[in-house]
Amino acid sequence: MSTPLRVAWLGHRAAKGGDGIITYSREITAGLRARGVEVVFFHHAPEFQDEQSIALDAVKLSHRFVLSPPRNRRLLEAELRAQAVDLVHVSFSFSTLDFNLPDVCRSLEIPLVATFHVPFDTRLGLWPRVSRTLYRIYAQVLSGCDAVIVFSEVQKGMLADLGVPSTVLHVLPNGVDVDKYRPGPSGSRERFGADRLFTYLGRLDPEKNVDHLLAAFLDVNPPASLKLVLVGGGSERRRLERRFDDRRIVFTGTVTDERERIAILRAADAFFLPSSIEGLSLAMLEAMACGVATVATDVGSDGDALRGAGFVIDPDHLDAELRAALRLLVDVPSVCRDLGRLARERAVERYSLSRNLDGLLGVYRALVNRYPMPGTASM
Amino acid sequence: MKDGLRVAWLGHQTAALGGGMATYSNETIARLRQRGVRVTFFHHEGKGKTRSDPADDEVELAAVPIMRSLVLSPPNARRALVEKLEGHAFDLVHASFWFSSLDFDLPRLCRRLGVPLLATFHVAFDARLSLWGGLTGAAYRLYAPALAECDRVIVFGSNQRDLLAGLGVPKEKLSVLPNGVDVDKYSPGPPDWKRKVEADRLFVYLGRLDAEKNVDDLLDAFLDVRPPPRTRLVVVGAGTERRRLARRYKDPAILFTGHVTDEAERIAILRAADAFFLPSSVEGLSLAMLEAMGCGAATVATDVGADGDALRGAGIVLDPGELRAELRAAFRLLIENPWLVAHLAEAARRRAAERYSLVRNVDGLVQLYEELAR
Repeated sequence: MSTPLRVAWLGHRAAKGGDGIITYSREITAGLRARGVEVVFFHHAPEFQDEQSIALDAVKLSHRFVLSPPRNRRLLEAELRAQAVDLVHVSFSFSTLDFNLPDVCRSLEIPLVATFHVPFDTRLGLWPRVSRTLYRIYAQVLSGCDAVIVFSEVQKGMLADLGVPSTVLHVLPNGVDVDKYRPGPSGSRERFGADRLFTYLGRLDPEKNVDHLLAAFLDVNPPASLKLVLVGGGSERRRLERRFDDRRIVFTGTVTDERERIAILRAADAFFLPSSIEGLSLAMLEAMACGVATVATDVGSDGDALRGAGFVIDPDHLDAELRAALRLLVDVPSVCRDLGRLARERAVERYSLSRNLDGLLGVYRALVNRYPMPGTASM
Repeated sequence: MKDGLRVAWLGHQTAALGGGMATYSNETIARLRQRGVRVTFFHHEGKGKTRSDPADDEVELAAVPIMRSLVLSPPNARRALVEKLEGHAFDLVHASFWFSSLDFDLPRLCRRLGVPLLATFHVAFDARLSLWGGLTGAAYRLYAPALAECDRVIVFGSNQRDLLAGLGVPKEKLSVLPNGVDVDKYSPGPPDWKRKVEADRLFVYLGRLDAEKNVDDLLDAFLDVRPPPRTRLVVVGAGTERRRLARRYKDPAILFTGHVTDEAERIAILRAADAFFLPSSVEGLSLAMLEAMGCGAATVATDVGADGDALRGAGIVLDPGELRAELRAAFRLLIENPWLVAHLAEAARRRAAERYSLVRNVDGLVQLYEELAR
């Protein structure tokens, strides 16, 4: 490309890097920059103030729900104009600004790309109801975007049904850096004093169903040399620690050091993700890329990503299916090895970061060419 | 071994009465004779009459079958047995329990004759608290005193040994000797039988269709997972539940073959099976399961009797307390992961060949005979 493309990235940033939505922004912006794209990172984390990023004021209700004060809209508009960006890419849900973004970008005549992370499940249930409501609320906003990145055909179909024009919907599954996340030696088994290691890695929140995982694990009654390591913090952590006080269950809390997360995944024989709702779990893709046998519920796009390369659990029969999968993996270690190999192959084939970036750049390119403005990068 | 050891074998001869126990008797006797043990087979197949063949290696005892494998022996059968035992100077008596109401007389009878008595205790069990576990627990309590009077009792696994030891059978009399299967005959082979039933994927149940086998749960779970086209579940066997089951499950994906007497056909079915299911509430050590494993069928069985221990690490072991849900999970695992079927098939075959071969079983048996006859 002659002139580098300039992208305003509106996403999530935090020192504690455990969450998938934060990892997404970090990995994609780093990957774009590595490919010569200039990225200006707009976020809500005042602790990060550097040349390439702009922190916006915010009232954080939770890590996902952020209230932007009204002046932020004017501030953002001014910054976007001053930064002379070719394109805005927002990682939804970003903040209450989300609902103004299509207008802002239209008035500035800058194309708007949105990645829609909001987890979903097409079944009936409490969590699906919550996520469906969010989908309905967002459908309006997404219809005003020039391109919307979703993770799977199922998700695309849901949004199309809610009125988002299918021409703006692009299926582009999350990607993981399969060179960084790959099988390899690790000292984590020794560290946890275990011969075999099962792991859960993610927030400990109610919709993650970690209590079901722990109950099933204890039901199956694995030997003392097999440990289940739970990596992550969250609203449920203290309750879970109190309730499942067993020497085979280890809570590490949040692990911010990526190398340490990779070390745990490399040592793991199996990875479990029993959530009620998901988008396309990055933690799952990372585990798969590290060659870990993977067991996950058939929610969001996780089931489609895993089917044929791991055990896909029916969330309506969560306990029995978790128990059956756990017992098999405890009893027959060679199944873990085979599954691990399949998982790695799947991640490399379909979910590599470079594949994802290729797709994303393709979307950018098509949009920028459609907005032939003076000073626009030609690609 | 001691030349021409003479053994009186009391057991079941036909599957109609004995099921897996008949297979046990027939297969084991054939192997023992090959090794020079002179076996006289006492069984119940006469039509109420007692007779013996001229070669004296088979004696039919009069019997009144009350229900499947429960036999009442009339007094003349007892007299015939005593005469035969007295007349032939046997080195030992080997009874396959349960045999008949004679079971409880045997220890005294053998002691009087000065012949050592060895019993194989086949009675199915589940050590958990449950209805079936309770019933079999009662059978175990009923038998324990008679077993305590035997010179040796063969059990199938360590949990069965512990159960009987807990009921007062002296531990030194209990020998763990698992059932064996002829792993040359029951070996993997071409899956041609699949074509016969127009199946791409074949699941098999093979055994009696009685209440404690939980075939209902198996069929419900199978239908629950909405099996893909050309995926069939074949139910092989007869029993008290057969007609009810056939009436209740009229789905084209489910086939009832009835009892298959031809061994070659049973083997053909097992060779064609992608997976074999045994969802019983109680078991000893299922011979049908070992045969399926020998044929290289991925095996799914409840953790009852000695089956769970035999299968653990080489198949899918189910909690009988959560049967239907776990069966459903097992069906889904196998349907969605064809490689897992192949993986478990190999594991099952390896396990059968390593630990449950008939040769191994007969070796152990001959060794016990020699110890006892000394």
